[in-house]
Amino acid sequence: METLTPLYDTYYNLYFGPAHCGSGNFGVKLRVRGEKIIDARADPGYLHRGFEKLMEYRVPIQNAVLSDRLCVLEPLSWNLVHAEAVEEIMGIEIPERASYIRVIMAELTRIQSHLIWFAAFSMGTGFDAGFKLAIGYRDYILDIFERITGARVYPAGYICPGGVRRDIPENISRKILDTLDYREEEMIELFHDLLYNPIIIERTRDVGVLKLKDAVRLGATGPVLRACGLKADVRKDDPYEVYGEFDFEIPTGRKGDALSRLKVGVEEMKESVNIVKQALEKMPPGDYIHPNLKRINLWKKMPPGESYARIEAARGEACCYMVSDGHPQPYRVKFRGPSFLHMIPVLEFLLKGTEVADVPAIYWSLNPCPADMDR
Amino acid sequence: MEMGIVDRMLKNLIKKPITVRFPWESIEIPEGYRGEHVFDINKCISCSLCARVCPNRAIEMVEVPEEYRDRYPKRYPKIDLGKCCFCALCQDICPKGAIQLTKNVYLSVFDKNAVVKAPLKKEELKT
Repeated sequence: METLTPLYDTYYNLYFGPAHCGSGNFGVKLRVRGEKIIDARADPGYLHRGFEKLMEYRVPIQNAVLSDRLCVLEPLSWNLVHAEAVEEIMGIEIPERASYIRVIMAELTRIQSHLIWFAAFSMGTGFDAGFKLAIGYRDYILDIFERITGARVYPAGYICPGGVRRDIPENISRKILDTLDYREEEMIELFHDLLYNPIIIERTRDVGVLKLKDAVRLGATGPVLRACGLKADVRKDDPYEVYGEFDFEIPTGRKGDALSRLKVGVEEMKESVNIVKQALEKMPPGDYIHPNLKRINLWKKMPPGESYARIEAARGEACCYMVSDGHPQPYRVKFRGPSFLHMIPVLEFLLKGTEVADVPAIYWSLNPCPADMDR
Repeated sequence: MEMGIVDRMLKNLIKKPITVRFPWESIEIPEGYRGEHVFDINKCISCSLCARVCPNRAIEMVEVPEEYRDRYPKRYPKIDLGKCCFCALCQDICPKGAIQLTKNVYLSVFDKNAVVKAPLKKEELKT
């Protein structure tokens, strides 16, 4: 008599995304046996928009507008890395005031991006109040962006090659300090609820443990790497803009599990608040854009050459490699998004051998942004 | 900073809601917001820099209707708000300040042709 296939040999393919409400435009194909995941394959490409090719047909100031769209959650960081790459290739020195404004905007972006991280994490793990609170506090920072850049989410190339597109309003520093002081107090309350809630702790402690050796091998950067215990931060290791003048700590975790990644995120937000306050105090008066670039010199040819810029975005190391062949448009632009390595090798590695219920917790603890991964 | 559940409930009872009831009231839109364009045809010198700088090619240089061509003989920008990304590069580059972005953000329409802004407005055409 023929026997049926033994139970332990059957497996199913389970699709987590890309149109799943809890995955955010990114798909993972899971091969499950019962509740156990035996294999995971990331399936990128759902959000591919071809920015690197589009940029070959536009001049740098138009590319600055385009670079917002690389990641919805932190557009100013991508503005910054693009502007730095163009400045390196064209040999532009930016005014000191512009550098300070850039640092303030980059750090505010980091805070609001981390708030989205916690919102998405709470949503993934079924903690709905955390989602609403985090998104609500993010709106206070968007109010600041609205005053400075002219729109809430997309700054439209606010950080452009040569400086920033407009000066910050006079009374904005008071508003930033008020928002940070008021928000910081409530934020601590929020994360006290979130990270010391037994339900969240049970779902994240010892879940998705990434050892330092594996993190380095798989190319993790940013909070994911720092949660494993390595003090690696581009702001300290290779200071860009005026980060060398500020006094701040680099928070690290120990265990490398989902809980320590979230805790590193909270500490980073506190350090960002610290940096913004220092920058507002030290900000010198002066020009906000290179004087020769005030009337945008559009069709100025870029000298032939190549440049490589890297910054610490909220998710990790964001890099831009640019080649010019003497035309106003760049010959080739390559972006390195931190989410690419977090979402393909690291996620596949972490998901193997876990259970289906842990997938959202691991997925969202890596702080993914499908937009900057697919580009 | 730990609060008991009773403290928190009392605090939330007296707290103002974080949101506003949108169609009836809305949050104030600050100065310098990048909203709908206002184009002043009398300031325009037809340099077509706005059409060249537009990253989405939402601006096209067109002629005005024939009856006004003796008064406005050149080509003027026609702005397609459906393609526009509201980056305000046209405002920055305009040497005469003919294009300005305003605070108007209520741009939803039912007719898709209504999003294309001709250089001469209908009110101006009548006079």
